[in-house]
Amino acid sequence: MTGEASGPQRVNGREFGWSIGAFNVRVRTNLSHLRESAAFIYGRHPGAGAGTFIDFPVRVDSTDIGPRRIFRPRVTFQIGERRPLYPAPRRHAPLLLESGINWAIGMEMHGYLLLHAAVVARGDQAAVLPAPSGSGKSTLAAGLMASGWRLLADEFAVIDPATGRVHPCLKAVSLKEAAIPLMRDRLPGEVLPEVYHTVRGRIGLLRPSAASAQAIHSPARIRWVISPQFAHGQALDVQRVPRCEAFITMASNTFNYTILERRGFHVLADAMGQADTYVLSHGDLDAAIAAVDRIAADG
Amino acid sequence: MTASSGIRTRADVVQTPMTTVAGRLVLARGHERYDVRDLGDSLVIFDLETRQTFALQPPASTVFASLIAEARAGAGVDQGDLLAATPNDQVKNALAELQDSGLITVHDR
Repeated sequence: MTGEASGPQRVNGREFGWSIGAFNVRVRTNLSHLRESAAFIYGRHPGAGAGTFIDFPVRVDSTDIGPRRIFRPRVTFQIGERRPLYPAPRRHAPLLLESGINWAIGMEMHGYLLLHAAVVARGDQAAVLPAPSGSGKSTLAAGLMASGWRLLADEFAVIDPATGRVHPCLKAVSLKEAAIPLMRDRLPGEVLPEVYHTVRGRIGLLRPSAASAQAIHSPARIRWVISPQFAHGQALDVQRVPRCEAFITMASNTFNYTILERRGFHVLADAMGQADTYVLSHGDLDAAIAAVDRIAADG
Repeated sequence: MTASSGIRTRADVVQTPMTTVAGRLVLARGHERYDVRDLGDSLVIFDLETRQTFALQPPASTVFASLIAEARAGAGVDQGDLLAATPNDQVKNALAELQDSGLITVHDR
């Protein structure tokens, strides 16, 4: 069983595990900086020690031999016997771990309906923010968390087919470019000090709030579906849209809709059948947060 | 209870076991091809053959109901049971007509 807010729990000298809500992760690594970053990001999460069922037993290690161990060393992500991701620079191990776990969730957890969406909640009422990359989803989720919303997920809305509820999948929030200093200002000490320079630009990792971690085993029902669309200079525009339009947006952002097929169709209809559905276009984070607060206040 | 579009709500469906699978509306029983869900303000339809999902908001949902009703009237089928046992071809034709008119959104995998 998972412990209470113990953070990554050491299983033996090189393995430690924790719960991200819907799933349990165990990492084996020889990298001290990865252990430190995991302790920072997941220090408020329940631990997953010996005897716990582990969904994702993974390894992140240096595997280079010869001169490469010294010059531009790389690390690999391994789950079971598979290495599904390209090796990354050693320094990027925390980012590789996040990407690897995302890969594993998206590829394997088909007992759930998995949407590419951020999820925040007030109590047990969730707002799902489905959007492709670059829509400002993570920044808006981080901003809402900073203003008191509970974060359930930055990347995956994990919907239980049996209940239609969203389970937390509480991982680091992946911040890009200008969102990194923005969140350092709003949430001092909450963004991992390291910034990673990647082909997708600069990426920083924000840890979930203590309140979010405390409610990590509390699923929420979908009360609102809000599709964010960020563009610099965009005036705030909030449009209520028919549920069928939001349904298509959700289906288009579902990783395993084509795998679950008919079942996925009905799970999605069950999950969002009572939700109020919006498109939120904005160019200013504070205006967007205020708009989401108004939507929630309207019930 | 019937939605304004003429399409039955989920509550009706649950009370009509012959036309449901696990509480959901299924068209053309025995040879089902389409699953329909009423989301209150609009409809979504899943095509079991092509795996396409159709989104119908007003007026498309209303037009869809009308097209089905017309087709059924032509075939002398009871109008009181609008969707149940509607032949697949009639639904297919209604969707195609709406799609050609640009009135519906289709999610194609």
